Amino acid sequence: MRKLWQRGKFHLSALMMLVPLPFLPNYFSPKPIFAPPEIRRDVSAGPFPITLITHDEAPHRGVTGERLKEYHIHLRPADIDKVRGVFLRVGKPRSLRAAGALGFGNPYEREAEVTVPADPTGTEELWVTVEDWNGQVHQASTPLAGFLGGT
Amino acid sequence: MSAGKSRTRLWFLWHSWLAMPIWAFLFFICVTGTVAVVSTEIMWLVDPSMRASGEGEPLPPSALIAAAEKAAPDGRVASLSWGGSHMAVGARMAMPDGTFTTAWINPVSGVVQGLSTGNSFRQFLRALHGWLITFPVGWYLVSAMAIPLVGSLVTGLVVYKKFWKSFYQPRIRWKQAPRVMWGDLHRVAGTWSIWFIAVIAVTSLWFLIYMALIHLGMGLGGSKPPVMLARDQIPVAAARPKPDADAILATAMATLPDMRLRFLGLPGTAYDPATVIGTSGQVPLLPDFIRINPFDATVIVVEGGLDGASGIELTRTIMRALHTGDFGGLPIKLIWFAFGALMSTLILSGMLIWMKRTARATMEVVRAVKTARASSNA
Repeated sequence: MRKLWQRGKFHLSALMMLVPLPFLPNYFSPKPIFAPPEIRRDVSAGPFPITLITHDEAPHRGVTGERLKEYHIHLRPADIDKVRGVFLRVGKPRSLRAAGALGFGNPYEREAEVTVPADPTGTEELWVTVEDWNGQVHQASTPLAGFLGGT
Repeated sequence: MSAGKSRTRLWFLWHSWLAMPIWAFLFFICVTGTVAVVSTEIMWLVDPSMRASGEGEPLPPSALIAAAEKAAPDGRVASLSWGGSHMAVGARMAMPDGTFTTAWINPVSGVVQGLSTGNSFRQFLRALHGWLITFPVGWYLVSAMAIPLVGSLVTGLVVYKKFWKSFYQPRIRWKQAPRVMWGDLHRVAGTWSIWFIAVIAVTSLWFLIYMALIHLGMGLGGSKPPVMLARDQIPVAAARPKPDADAILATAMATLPDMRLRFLGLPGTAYDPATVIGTSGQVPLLPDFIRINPFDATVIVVEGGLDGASGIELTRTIMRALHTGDFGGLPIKLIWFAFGALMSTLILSGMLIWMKRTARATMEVVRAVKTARASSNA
């Protein structure tokens, strides 16, 4: 035993190669395998039914200390080319210029990183602003309570 | 023992102890990094769908996009990547299930030669080498290795005082005992890769500092706000106007005619510009970004060379290029690969020297004890 330790102690750092192993299946799967459960909300902004999805985990901290929460935006496939942009914001936007976080990425599943309050009072609303290619704006809102995750 | 000698001995102990307890991990990082340098080339060798002959007139991007979207129904091309005339063009497509798929298209015939989903071998090697697929813990574990690396380089140079001799009188005694051979190899390989170890160590140290700064919440600053289109620049229409990829590329090539094309990114949202990335060779290491209004194919801004980004961003681009050797095509990559292999040899030979020396020293101690016992028994 002692001999084994004498011979092997300097090779122990090879065990570091085991670190990535448990993460491999998730890494090679196109969709996360061990993702936390999802919370879904259906809203309707004018003619556009939208499903918002977020992971049931607490908001994370941004680089300047703000709280951020990621939401995935599902439009009906037929609506994708009718919608110019989907914006998410906590609290009613005062104007289209401050409509909130713009959904980006895969048009079938846009994602938006929304600034959320650090200490929610439970009365906040998540506002969805949809701008279509005609330039028309449609809005809807849903209570933020129960849609922040991690509680 | 003179004071100078004992000091050298101390440096030598530092040199041994810095790397020995972690040699296997360091070796693993070194080998994966060396392979990662040529990972694209390996994929090219293994996967025939990534190859192209490079002969003939290349098709315009619109034809490539049409071919890709035909091969994957409901897929939408987000970007095209060119890797040189011997490589198929990669079209990254957004799929209805929220994932992305890459179609490999022959740039001349327009045939879709293969589809690949998820992470590629190249990304896998980078993730394994850079953060052990365990972010951010792995990132810190790997980049912290920069510290023993710098230490090994400095102490090595102090211990091997006449290292420059290895430049004009490299001596490796192949036919001597393995311990002698490995020792010679360690010294010669070490001397010849001083510059390379310094580059890798400094850039790795940068990766450590960079991530620490982000996690400490210290805004890195320096990055310019993203280029966006104003709302009045976006046309009003019944449905999304399809961006004209050919016009976008033509504008980019007219702006920088000598540019080697690498990437064409279609707008990610309605308010984003299209982006063309290429290397014009005006400033080494730094690519050019051309932001183009997708609706009228006019240039919004050319962000390239030294004024592409300030401070931190510029450092980041340069450090990454230096670390990966991805800034001058295949010749530079092969140099990085060769020296990466040499550096791996250094770690392995260092370990072998240590083991052989300690093994011998241990055997001597054991023998001494045995003889002592034998003589006391007699």
